[in-house]
Amino acid sequence: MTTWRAELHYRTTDIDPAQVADHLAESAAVVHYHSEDHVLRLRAGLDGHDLAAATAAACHWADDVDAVLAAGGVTASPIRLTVEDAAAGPLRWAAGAHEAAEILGVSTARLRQLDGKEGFPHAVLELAGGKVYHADEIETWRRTRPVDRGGRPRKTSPDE
Amino acid sequence: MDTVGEAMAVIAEEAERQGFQVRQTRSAMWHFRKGSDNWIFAPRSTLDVVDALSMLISAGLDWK
Repeated sequence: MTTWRAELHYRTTDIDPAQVADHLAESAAVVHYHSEDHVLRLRAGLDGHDLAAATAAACHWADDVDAVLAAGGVTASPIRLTVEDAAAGPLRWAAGAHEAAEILGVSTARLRQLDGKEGFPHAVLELAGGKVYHADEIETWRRTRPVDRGGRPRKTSPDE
Repeated sequence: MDTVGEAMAVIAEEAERQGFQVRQTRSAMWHFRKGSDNWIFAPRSTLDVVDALSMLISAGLDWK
């Protein structure tokens, strides 16, 4: 039996997260509420033999939560339900300059030189804090890159 | 206090020291607040505690 984790997101109006958590004490191990974007995130552990069983259990859980929220007078619309193996860990697709340089085994200064060279992965985002790359693309480039000997280009003699 | 409760108490103490507002709303329910973010944890297992800690670390809790 695998342990799964389900996460349910709702868009809400202003709520008192402590009061909502009180209603959901039996249904959710984690309640997160961001009071500016009004998104309520609920998390619960589920058991299931496989993903299909876990997904079915997550749908039942979502129905139960809907009923509890409605009974508590909470106005909330579900916007997302995700199910993952509890051992899956966080998604780590994004790599900033530091992480990308680490994957390549180079300094961030060298990464800046490589960025923009033909064949080097394009950044997927450019933020004020720097570029964000897809970690898989950086890893693929590392495995397939041409050998880089570093240093100055060699001088060629006229007869070469 | 059970192991889960003890672990949460340690996390709560450190989070409070680092500027999170922490309140134990029921014996097994913990409310952490930082800016606009509110987390309420009702951990029943060590996996739930690890989950809670990883969410707080993502929110800036320095845990070394």
